[in-house]
Amino acid sequence: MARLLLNLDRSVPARFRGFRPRVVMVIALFVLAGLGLAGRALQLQVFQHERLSKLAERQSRRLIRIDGKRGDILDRNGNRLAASIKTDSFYAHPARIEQPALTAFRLSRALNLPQGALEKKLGSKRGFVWIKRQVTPLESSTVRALKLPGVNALREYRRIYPGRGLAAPLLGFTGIDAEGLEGLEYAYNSHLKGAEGVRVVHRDALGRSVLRGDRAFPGGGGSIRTTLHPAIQNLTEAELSRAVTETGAAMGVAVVLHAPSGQILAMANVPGFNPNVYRDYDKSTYFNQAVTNGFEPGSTMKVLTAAAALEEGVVKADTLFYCENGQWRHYDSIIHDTKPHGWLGLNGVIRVSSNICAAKIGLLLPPGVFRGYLSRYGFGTRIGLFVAPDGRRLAGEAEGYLLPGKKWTPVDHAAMSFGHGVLVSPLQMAAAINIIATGGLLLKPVLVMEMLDSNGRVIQKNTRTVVRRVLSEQTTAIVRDLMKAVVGPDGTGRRGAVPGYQVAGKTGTTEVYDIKARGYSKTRHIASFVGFVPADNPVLTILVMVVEPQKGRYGGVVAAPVFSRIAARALPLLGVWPAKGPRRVPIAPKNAPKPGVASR
Amino acid sequence: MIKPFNFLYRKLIEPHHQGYDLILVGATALLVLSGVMMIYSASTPISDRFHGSSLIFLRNHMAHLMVGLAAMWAAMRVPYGRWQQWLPLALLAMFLLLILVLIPGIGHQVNGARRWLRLGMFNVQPAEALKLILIVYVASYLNRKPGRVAQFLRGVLPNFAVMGLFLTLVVMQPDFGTMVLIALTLLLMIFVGGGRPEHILYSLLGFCTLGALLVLSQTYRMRRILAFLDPWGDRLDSGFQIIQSYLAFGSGGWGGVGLGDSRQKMFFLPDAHTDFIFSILGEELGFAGVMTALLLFSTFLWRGYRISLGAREDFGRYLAYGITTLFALQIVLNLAVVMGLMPTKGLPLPFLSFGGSSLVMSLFMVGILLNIGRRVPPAVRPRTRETSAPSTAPAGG
Repeated sequence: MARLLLNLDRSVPARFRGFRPRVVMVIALFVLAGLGLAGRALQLQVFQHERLSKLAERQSRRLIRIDGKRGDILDRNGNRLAASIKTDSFYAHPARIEQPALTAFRLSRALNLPQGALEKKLGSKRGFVWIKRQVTPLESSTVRALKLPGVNALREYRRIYPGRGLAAPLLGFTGIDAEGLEGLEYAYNSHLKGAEGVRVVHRDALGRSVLRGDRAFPGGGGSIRTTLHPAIQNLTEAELSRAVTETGAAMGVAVVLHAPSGQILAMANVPGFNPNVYRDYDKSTYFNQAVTNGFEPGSTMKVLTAAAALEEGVVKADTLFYCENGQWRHYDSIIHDTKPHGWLGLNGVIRVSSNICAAKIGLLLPPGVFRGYLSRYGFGTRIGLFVAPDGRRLAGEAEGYLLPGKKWTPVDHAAMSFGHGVLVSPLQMAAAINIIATGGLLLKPVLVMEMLDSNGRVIQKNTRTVVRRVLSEQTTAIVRDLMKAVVGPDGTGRRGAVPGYQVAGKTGTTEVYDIKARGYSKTRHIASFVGFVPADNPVLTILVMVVEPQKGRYGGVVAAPVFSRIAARALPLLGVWPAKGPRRVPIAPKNAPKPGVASR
Repeated sequence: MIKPFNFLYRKLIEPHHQGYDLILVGATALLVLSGVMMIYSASTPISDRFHGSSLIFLRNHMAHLMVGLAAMWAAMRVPYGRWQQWLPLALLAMFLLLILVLIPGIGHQVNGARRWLRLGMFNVQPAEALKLILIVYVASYLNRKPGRVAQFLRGVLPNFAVMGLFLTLVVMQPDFGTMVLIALTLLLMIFVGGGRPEHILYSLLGFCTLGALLVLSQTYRMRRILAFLDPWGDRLDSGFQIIQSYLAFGSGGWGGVGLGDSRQKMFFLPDAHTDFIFSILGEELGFAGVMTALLLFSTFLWRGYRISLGAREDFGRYLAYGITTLFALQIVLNLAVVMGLMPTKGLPLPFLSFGGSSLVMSLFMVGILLNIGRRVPPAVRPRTRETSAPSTAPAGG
């Protein structure tokens, strides 16, 4: 075999006899070397494959996060309140910029950036620097036209809010990386957020990208369709803002519920902000006070106390109460009324808003029973406004505060009867008053009507939900009459009357509890008004709250007119016309949507 | 030949192969094709970056391949005995060329080494031709003065003197790798030509001492040695190249990342298309590709040694042996370097590495091998098998 392979038989032997064996020795040496090399290749390529390829991968691979399109937030008609659009984000590879100064100069002109800082960035030794993210189309085309070497664009989605400040604290906003930071954007972040994609970019040793990853954008996020009525939201914000400005108040909150369905038509916070440029605003304006904060409701609670007493049968519509002429010592506390009153019927107690008589009514109920009513009104528990399709509660809602039964003292009991010593969010209060409007049913307020997937298919529908029956229809009929009287000519809430409609409402004036002084402030107030209209066939339940007005302090003076104006403008939009024909009412659209029925 | 295909072989191939070793031709062709393929793949990034087109290196290589094939054809036709006659002239010309290369302005410098002469569109590297000329010289010496190399002073030393003269010029370029390669080749030639083993051993020791002095004289050579001993210790500087080579091999795994999909060639691995092209082959074609390449090289070398052993007289024998050993050493040294078994030297891999002079000379030497191994085909042989016994012209195959 060897003789044949090496052709040994056919040759004439060399003159040096040792030639053949020595050549065979050399061949053997090379065979050994070849085996060694093969072994080394096996070692490097097979046994160390894992380790070495990981190292190679690490030095060449860079991951660029690319998120799918974030879903929209829609109003009830399907118009976008928040949307994502494709924009360019410019970045640079400083190593590949030959003239940093010139490049910085031209970029600073095109993108309106400080030249010095830009020059420093471009002159750095980093492999990658952002120049400006999510630029406008005009800026983008300008920079692209410059054709600067080393400057590239990456497509990114940018969140825009076409309504600017419209419902801003409710919608919230997203950060630059499309993560929801506040409001609905935060609460529904996991639903709205597009699939998180990672594009694998392979980089050569000079830092240039050699794209090999999947170019397809990852799937988009789902959308949510809210119950907001854009026109009512707009006018509510306008009226509230006007009141806050006129009275020099610190802030204002308003909630407009569609009474029969519990849908939230508007939710306004003043001062608001523009989520497109949220950084320009103070952080305190970001929060949706109507949902995320609890306040002492004050006198608006009295109708609920009366309703509980009526339901339990401890008082009747014609029961008389003695109001102690404005001052009543109850255990170690003294309860005051704003004006001294003598004997008053239940009707009068609510109309003039007597604290003393409200306390007496509340004290007629055993503590456990009264607390049970407060709890069943929805106080002290989260409404569950933000709920994921899987039933998980989403973030960002206050539960308010209801004193636990064990700590309940007679003084607390009395104070709670007229709305002190209990924390209630404005939305909770509006929902509780809506019980009177619906004839005794607590409806769960609905903000998100539908959750849609990225293809627009509905994956969850939030319909009218009755949480529980709290009061009987007889009781609510009586309470409704009490509330009508409040708006009557000699009621505290007469400025809340709406021309052409019968209103049922209740004023509230609360002294702000000063945590530092450990007592109620004499100068800082919360003026509120809550009611529904039309009183006998309620369509809207509206709560208005003005915090710390400088001019005026009473709910009937500061908040009631706002209620009136909102109702007067909003009702025609829902096809509910005033009895005496339109007056002070803007022109309504011909095809105004019917209440509670969404029209796209 | 191969028995089951005897009929086909006789009918289709034998009348045309003119007595040349077809297996050697086949192995060479496959190696050259692999080279074209790998050079295109490995040079794309660097070609694109520095010349604006990904095809520049491939085109250059193809041009050299044409020249190389012409040279190979010439070497196949010219009876190899002629090279012995032209030796003195070649030695003189080479001496002049090596001096020319060293003169700034004439010699072309790449990466700090002055190794090339500009000749129109080609850069010629005289040291490549020197390898063959010295092999011819030693083969001729062993042929002319049989038995002389058994004596150190009278036989070995004259060879060393000639070699030393030329190698000094080579080291001045500097080209340490080529020097080591030539020295080892010639030593192995003297060994099979009758040199005493102890002389060979002493010479080897002497070379090592000389080599060590050369290494110590140049910091970059010293750093290469240190990097070889602990590449991870200085992975960003002197150990960089060998580590990048490891990463290339390691990424390959069993089957490789796919032809053209190397990541290491993206400027991570320096000299990816020249000395370290085998790393890219290892990355793209994996262990399977590496073994195939080793198999091709082995086949090539086997045929080379077979030709040497089957040659009819001493000059052809030593010449074929010298050429094959040169290839063998160069392949082994290059592979040992790229796989981190030896310090970096700067030797191209025959047929696979980009490099015009190397390719042309390799093909030329293959031509000589084929010429030495040529057998008179049966068609040419007079059909008088019964009357005259073929004593001078052995049977074909």
